[in-house]
Amino acid sequence: MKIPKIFSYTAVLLVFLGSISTSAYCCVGRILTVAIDNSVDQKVVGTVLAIFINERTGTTVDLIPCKDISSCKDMVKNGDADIFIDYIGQASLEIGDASKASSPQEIYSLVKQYFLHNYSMVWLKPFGYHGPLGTLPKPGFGQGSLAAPVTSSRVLDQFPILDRVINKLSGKLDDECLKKLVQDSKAGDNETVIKKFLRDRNLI
Amino acid sequence: MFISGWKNPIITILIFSLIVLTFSACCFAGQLVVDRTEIGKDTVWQGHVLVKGDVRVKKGATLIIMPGTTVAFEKIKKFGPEKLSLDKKNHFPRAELIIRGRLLAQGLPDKVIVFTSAEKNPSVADWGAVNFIGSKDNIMEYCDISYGHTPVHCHSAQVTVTHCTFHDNGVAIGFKNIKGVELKCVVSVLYNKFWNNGGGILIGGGTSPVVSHNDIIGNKFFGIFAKKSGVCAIRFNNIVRNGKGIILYSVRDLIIRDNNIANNLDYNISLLEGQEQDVDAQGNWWGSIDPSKIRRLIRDAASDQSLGKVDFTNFVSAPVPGAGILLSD
Repeated sequence: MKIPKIFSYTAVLLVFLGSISTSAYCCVGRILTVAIDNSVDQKVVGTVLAIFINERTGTTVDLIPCKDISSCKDMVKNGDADIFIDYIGQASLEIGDASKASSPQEIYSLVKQYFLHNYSMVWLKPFGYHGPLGTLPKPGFGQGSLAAPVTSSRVLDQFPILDRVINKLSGKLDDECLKKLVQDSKAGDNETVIKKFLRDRNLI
Repeated sequence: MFISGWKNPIITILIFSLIVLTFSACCFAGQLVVDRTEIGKDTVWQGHVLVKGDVRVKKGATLIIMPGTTVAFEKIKKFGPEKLSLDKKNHFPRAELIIRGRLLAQGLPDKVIVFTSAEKNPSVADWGAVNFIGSKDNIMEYCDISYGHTPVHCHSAQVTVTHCTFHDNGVAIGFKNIKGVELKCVVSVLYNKFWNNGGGILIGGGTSPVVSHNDIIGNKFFGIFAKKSGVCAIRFNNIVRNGKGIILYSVRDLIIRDNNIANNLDYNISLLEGQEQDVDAQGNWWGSIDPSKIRRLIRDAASDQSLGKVDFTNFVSAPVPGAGILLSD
């Protein structure tokens, strides 16, 4: 997989313009940033998000690296990034009540409420694939580690259709799809692979 | 007579004045180097002009660029000391020709005016734009424009762009109205060729351009991108082999008719999220007379129910004659 290319990936014209910047200027329009850590799934799914958002809204999307999920979250919290990818199981560890949840859906709801209340962050619908295991709040709650895009209320005020757009990816990227995307990206150009994946599913 | 004229002090003064006036305004031979500056009176450029920073033509002044002139922009530091304005909303990172007054850049078919990068190995966005802001009566005709960011850019300005060639730019032309400026954007884009740019024409907020008889071919991302535009007519253009032919976002009164819109790589027309209004695109040539093949290269409600519908009925059965740059020109 061509990792460096992912990091420098800017979804549309900025690549052509040779200008990677998170600050918009004249007629470039608004730029969104997706913070991703160093894991393979974040790099691939971050690129999926970037291409999908760009194709469906015309908005330029930058990927910016961060050390780990906690750093990514801080970046979004501080307004240094607009979206990151989190895992329900991992996020639920912050919530004491999560262990009392009786279903994966309940955990998701608790996490969603907690993030909104405490950080003004909005959990969007899960992609469908599972993130790192070992962070499940309860044995058997496989759903608890589902990955989901997270943004902030501030960003949704600025990009009112963003949640609607991103939620179209919900359930479209399960474990099997992700595994194949990672394999195919290793073999070829990841942007081409991901664009084909989105196109084949009629998403772009 | 001529020699004896020198003895006449009036004629001598007249000739001397003419020479001084001419040299203060333009450059006959060699190269005119223009550092960051403001132009406050009518000025003529010709020959080779090297621009080394932002140049602003102030209100009330006209910059005339003569046929055959080359205007080459140095690749200055982004928003560095050579910039006149650090307002990122209305300006580009690198050197611009900012038109608050008026620009008349009228080349001839055999003496085009060249706007380009001064770099030995030029690349896209080496320079920013000819940036029209709140100005009117501007003309760009028979110009060859390359390596700009958005080399013709209009914010609430009025410009006629005809018979120009745009290549190797970010987005060739972009325009929109801006708050606080009374003048509304009126741009006529006629008989131009757009090729190998990132994008061709970006029609922005509230503007009502005429886009006709252009060849918009092989631009990487899009041929035409209209977003929140006002009433505008896109007619008699060849829009082919671009990443996407036409992209639409939140557009209402758009006329897309009598164009050849074919063989674009992703889609001939793609509606973006937020384009809920239906689009009238009747009477075009789509590269096929098979409706299912035409449909395949249109992204609209048939692919995603949250989008409007593109009405491509009454399509013509052969390429529209007379579309694009007319050969007689």
